[in-house]
Amino acid sequence: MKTDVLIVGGGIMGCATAIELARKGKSVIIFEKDIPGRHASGNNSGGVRAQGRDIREISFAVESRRMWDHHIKTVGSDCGFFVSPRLRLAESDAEMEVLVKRQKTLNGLGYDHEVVVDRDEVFRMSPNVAEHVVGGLACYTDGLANPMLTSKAYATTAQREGVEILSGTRVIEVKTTASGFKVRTSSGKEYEGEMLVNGTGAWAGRFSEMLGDPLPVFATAPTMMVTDRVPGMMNGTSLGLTGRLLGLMAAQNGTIVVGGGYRSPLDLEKEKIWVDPMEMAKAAKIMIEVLPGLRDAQMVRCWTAFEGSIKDKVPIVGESQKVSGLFHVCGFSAHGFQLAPMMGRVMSQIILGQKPELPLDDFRPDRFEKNEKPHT
Amino acid sequence: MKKNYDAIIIGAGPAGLACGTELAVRGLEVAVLDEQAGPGGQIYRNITGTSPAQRKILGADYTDGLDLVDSFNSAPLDYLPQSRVWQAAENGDIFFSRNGASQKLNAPNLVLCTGAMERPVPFPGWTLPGVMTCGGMSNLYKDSGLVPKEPLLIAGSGPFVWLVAEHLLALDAPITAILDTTPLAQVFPAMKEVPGAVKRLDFMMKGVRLIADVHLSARKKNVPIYRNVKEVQAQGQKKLERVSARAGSKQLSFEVSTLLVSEGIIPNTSLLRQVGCAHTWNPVQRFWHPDVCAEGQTSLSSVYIAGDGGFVHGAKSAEYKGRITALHIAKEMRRLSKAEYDEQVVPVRTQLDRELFPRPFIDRLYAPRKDLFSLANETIICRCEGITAGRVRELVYDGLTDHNEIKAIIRCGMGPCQGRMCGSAVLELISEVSGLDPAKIRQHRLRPPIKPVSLQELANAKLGELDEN
Amino acid sequence: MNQEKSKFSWSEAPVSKETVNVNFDGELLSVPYGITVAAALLGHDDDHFCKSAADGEERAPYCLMGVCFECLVEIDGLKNRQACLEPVYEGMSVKRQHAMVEEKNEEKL
Repeated sequence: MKTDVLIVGGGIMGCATAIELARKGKSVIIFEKDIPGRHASGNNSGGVRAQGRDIREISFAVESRRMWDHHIKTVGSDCGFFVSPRLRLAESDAEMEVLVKRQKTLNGLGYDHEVVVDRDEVFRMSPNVAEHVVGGLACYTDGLANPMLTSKAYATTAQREGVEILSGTRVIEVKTTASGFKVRTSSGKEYEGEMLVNGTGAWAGRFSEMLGDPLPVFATAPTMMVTDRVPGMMNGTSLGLTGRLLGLMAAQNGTIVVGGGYRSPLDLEKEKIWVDPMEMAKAAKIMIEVLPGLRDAQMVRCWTAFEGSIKDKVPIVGESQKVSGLFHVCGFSAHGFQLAPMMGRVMSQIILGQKPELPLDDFRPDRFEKNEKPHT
Repeated sequence: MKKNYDAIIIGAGPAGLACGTELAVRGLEVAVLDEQAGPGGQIYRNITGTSPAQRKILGADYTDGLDLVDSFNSAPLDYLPQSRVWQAAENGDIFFSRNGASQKLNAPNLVLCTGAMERPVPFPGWTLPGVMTCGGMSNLYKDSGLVPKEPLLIAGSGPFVWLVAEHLLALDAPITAILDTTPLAQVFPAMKEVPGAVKRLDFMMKGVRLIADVHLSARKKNVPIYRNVKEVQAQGQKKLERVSARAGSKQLSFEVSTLLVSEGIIPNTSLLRQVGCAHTWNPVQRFWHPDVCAEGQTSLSSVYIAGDGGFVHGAKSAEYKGRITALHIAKEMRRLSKAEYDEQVVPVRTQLDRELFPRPFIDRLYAPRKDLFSLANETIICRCEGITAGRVRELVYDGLTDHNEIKAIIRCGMGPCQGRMCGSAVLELISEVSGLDPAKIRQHRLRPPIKPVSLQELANAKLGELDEN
Repeated sequence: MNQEKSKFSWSEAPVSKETVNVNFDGELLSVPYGITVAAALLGHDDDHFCKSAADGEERAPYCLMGVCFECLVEIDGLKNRQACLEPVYEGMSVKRQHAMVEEKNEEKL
């Protein structure tokens, strides 16, 4: 019995792709070594962010943002999404210049979702920021969602569309055949499929190597923290900085989710992550500098998860140039969540041999060889 | 206070006191951290501050701790009270908060003696001011001498019920009634453990005497004792005003402002889970216990567990376990030869074995009953976030059976208590609705800090260099 | 010590002979030195300690050993102190914790 598409990885990318394929009449099996949403997809900061994207990702982010508004229809859940304007703060004139330049660049490319705002507007949006803030760059349509709820909604929808999700099932061997792929799993069973999708997140480096198309994806453990309830502090506006690392997301219950690039040491083999309190301390310091009123707030807990990262920080999305019928969708480097709906769409398009709605040239799997850069 | 020690002990109850003392007198550099203001843990709480009158009420089981604390106080170790440990790492780092400042210490040996807590069992109205645990009342009395002067009720199952009843009766507290929720049939599975238990006839008789004395005293003071009680409910507008229950077919209702509850004791495993010790599901106790060997070793090479934190066996057992772990560490650190160790550990092991004879019986007799977590949908199970049992059931009906997933979606376990109060209930609800064996249901992941830390404190913290990995 | 509103009494003489003055929500209390803030407050009145951050309901100590987080008060300006773990000292200022509950509707867009 041959399946049309075998997808390895039941995170949000794998499920998003599966849904689109299933709705286009394809048979799909997802192999998930744990449970859908177990890693980065279900345990990120929940930021649904178009702001601050690498230029190469913007067209995808803008389109994806539109799709987030229709989740009730597409995945039967609003995924806990709500709008929280994202304000990137300039803490000096030099930083302000960076933001002005950014808006100009974006406008030049036809995008208007990031708007320079003056000090007055900053304080209107976020009345409690520190006095030294000089201005900002706002994206009024950004928001937040519940990553676990979202991941589950995607997985459940995939199943409803006839996708078979095999949880607790690891792919231990992949063979290419004349007509596609033969996959052997940890349950001892074998499956045959015409196409294979690599959506294995933090494991994409290893898995791609096993497939004969090694990708320079390495595992990272982005770490988030959350405060207790601090009502009135954020005024519904989420914050980012320009010159240093910090993301503060304003949850609706008054807690503040802290992210923005903190990483914890990990051991992928043992599947262990150790939260480093030094990082928490660094974040706390910056938080108080940016929002002095947070002095009284507490850090209640942290969480972290395995994520696949790439040095040039944009994902790998596209058809393998080494193995026919193999497609990659990985390496989202801690900012894939918002892109998922659109990524699922374009992946289904290229898998079906169609031209993707938006060009994927910047995300080519073989872009690293072109540069002949040694990967670490 | 040094930056590095040979051993850091967390918890100054009987296990921590004994362990710290034994290590310190053998020349090791030891720090003992505890979040209370004085040594003794829960059982020997405020032992240096209680009055002679209080000690008379509390009895020998309490005053037994005096010698232990005396030895501890004269031992050459660093004792750090009021220290809240919020993270431990398997490389021996511990991070703690003291006097508004967070710091880091390190030792090649961590001994976690974090003890036990009352099993949190939700029931209707349990969040009302006025509802407390029996252990909590005992703590309050030991700490301050406060005794209820308005009508109160004691309801539950297990030794704490009788212990607190005994103390409060002696203090002439106005107990309206004692409700024993132990199912009558529970004694039968326990009977097969009697042969082992009667090796400690003295202990068994002590228990029998305690319960008999309470009955006698209660009768003298016209305090009714009801057996086989079910459906305890706390009611009131903004605080406890009355309690209803059922004893057999009889409906009961009492106007009281204090309800003391107890449904057994469980290890307090927050730190143990955060640091990453392996745990195993115990189907009789219905709880995930850490894997601990005879000398206190865990699945992590530098982390030991001693005392009730490993398994609840009482204060004396905790003390002996603390000693044994200390002897083992002293041997590993070459302060004790193998011969010395073999010689010194024998009497302690013998004492521990004696303590453990009656435990299988006690554990069976007071095992959590089948319907302990039969929770009505409207009952709040997550106190911090106000999540009801019904809400958890909804998610399990939708197909979610992973504790972490459920937590991530409805927030049970995301408040400051980090699931200490709701963890068991959520697990039981998942098992009830899904039919899954609890051993298959993973505990929710506990990440640091295990107690909230203020951002200001974190920002100022001197946490030392980053450890290489 | 004013005990009228409390449902507890000090069993005989207070544990310690010394007393200290503690300010509780504007009221000056004389309490035995060394007891916990939780004991001091329970011995004063039977009112709540804090309001639940999630639903605003009034809460008071449940476990009295630091695991339930229902005895949260503000001590000397620092919020979220577990009253059952803090011993009283002279001049301490304690407030009931309500601040977490006042969520404004303007926050939600």
